[in-house]
Amino acid sequence: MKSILTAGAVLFAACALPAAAETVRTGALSIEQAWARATIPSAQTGAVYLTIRNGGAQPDRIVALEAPVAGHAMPHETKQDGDVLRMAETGPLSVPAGGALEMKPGGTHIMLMDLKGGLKPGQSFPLTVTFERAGTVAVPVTVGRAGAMGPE
Amino acid sequence: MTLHHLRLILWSAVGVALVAGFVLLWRASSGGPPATQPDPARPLAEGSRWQLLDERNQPFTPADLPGRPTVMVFGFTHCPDVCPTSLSYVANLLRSLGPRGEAIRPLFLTVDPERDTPAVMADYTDLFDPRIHGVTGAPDQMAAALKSLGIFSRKVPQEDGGYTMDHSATILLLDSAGRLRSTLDIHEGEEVAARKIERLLVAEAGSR
Repeated sequence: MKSILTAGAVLFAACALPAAAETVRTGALSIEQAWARATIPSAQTGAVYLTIRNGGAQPDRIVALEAPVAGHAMPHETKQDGDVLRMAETGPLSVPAGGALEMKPGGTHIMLMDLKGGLKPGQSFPLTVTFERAGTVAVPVTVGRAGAMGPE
Repeated sequence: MTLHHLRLILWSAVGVALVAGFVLLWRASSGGPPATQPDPARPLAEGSRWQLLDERNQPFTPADLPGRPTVMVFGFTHCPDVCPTSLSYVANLLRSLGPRGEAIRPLFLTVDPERDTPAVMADYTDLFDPRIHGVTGAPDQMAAALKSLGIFSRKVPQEDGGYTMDHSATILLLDSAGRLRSTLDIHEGEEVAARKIERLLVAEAGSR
């Protein structure tokens, strides 16, 4: 059932791709400004950044992530410890009730692993996000320049 | 020998032992004789022996550090978040410096030479700015180079069998004599980095 839902969500996102900058809503959540940086064609990894706002009275959290461009996707965080940069998997990312989860370069991001052919500027792809409460939604992600510092 | 003399000799021996002990402790705590510490007035990595490869497969050694003011970024191409952020910072900096930026040599040195070949480094750095040149090398040579430049790196295995690298965040700014002049920090506005570089260019023009 979940895979049918996911497939449906992916199909929906694929149809909606030209409107990639649009805000996507599911339940009490709205997901904005999903973007990624271009990579070299042989790249194994990439990063997606997005902002999730929760208008509801209950917190929610991301329980699964999927993207057709990558073997798998998971929440990661870059931390600076003194002068040392470390990257680590975070636990499930939560969106506080009435609050937001904002991702940006140098902090929390969704890491794409085992990329299939890299990411090209101008390309779009759906990122399927499953929330504990709000369910599954396909978020269109636009790929900007490798040197982008935000959605373009 | 009187008892008095014997006491004097024994106490002298205790004194000598104490002084020797303190000297040993001091040397251990200060990490050895001062002669091994890098001299900030000398070119960075002077006297070190390593040979790396630039993105065109040309040798890159400590003798190549002097020549032009150089910005050195450290990272690896499998790093999806902070390394592109550091290189974007340098690319934007070069853009904001305009023609003055031509005097600078921006380098990206990998901390992951096993995966980052010269060809990968060339493709990766060109994504940000074709002026940024990649440098890699054999793992033992890269390790020696990073150590002599004061850069930390460590391989961290991941659950899926792959690995990531922890590494120093520091971006080095060297003058054209190859001496460490300043460091850049991606958390500072690009105008701060631009001012550091402009100050270096002015100082170099004045000393010619």
